[in-house]
Amino acid sequence: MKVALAANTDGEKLKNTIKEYLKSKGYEIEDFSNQDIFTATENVVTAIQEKGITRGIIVDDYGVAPFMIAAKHHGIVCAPTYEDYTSSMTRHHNSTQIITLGANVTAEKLSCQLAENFVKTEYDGGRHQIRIDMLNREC
Amino acid sequence: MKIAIGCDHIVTDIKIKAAEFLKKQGHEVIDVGTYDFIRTHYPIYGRKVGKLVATGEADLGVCICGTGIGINNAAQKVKGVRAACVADVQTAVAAKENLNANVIGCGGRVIGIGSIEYILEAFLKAEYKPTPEKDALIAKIDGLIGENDCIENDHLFDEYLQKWDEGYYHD
Repeated sequence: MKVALAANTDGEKLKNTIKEYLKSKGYEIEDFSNQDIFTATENVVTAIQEKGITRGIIVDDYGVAPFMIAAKHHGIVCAPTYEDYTSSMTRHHNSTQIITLGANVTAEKLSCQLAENFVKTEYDGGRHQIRIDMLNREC
Repeated sequence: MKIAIGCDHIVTDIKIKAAEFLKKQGHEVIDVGTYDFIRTHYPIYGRKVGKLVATGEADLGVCICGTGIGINNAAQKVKGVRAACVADVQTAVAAKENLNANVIGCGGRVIGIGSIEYILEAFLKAEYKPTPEKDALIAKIDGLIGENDCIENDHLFDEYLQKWDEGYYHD
C-alpha cells in the first residue's frame, strides 16, 4: 500500500520518523511536504482524490490546521488523531482517508503506532455508509 | 456567550454534563440534540451546530461523538466553520489563538468529563491572536467551500434518511 505523507516545518522531524517506521513495515511512501501547511495539506488531498492513494498522514504543530483544510473538501474525511482508539475506530466507522498528528502533542513512538493502526485498518461499511453519504452531501 | 452544542446517541450523557457545565459558567446553551440514546446519525447534529455558528446565531459550537471525528467533520463541512477536535487543553487553546476556531470538539468515548470541562473552559477563555499570516491562512480555509445549499436546506439529508428507513443501509 502507498501512503501519502506530508508535513510543514513544525512537523518535519516527526514526519520523517513516521516515514522510516512505515517503510520498515513494508509501506511505500510518497512525501508531499511543504513549508506551508495549506499547500502540504492540499497536496495530500489531491493525491487521495486524483492519484489513487487511499491513506494520507499530515503532521504539523497541533494537527488542527490540516484537519480544517482537508475536511473542507468533498469526499474527504479527516481525523486529528492523538490516541489508539481513534486511530483505528476512525477507519472502522468514518472511512477516514487522512489523519493529522501534532508534533507538539504526540511523541514519536506513539505517533508511529497511530500511523500504523490507521493504515492497516479497514472500513466497516454497512450502516456507517449513511453518515458518509450525508457528509458528502454537505460539501 | 451563546454556545451551540450537539452529539450523537453514543455520548448524550456526556453532552448533557458538558452543557450543564457551560450553563454553570454563565453561558447560554442551545442544545441541538440528539436528546436520547436511540441510534441516529452524527452529520445531522454536526451540521446543526455548524449552521448556528456560521450564521452567527451562536458565538461558538461544541461537537461530541464517540471519537469526535464524525461529528466534527460534519461541522467542518459547513462554510464558515473552523472546527478543532482535541484531547488536551493546549491544542484547544492553540486552535483558538492561531486559527480562530469557532467549534471545539472531542471524543466522549476518548476523554472524560473532567478533561472536557478543562478544554471548554480554556477554549472559551482563549482569544485569537491575529497576525497577517494567520489572517491569510484563515481566509484560505474559509474560501475552500463555495456557495452551496448546506446551510439553508434543512432537508439536506432527507433522501438518505428515507433510504435508511427502507433498509438500504445495513450491516
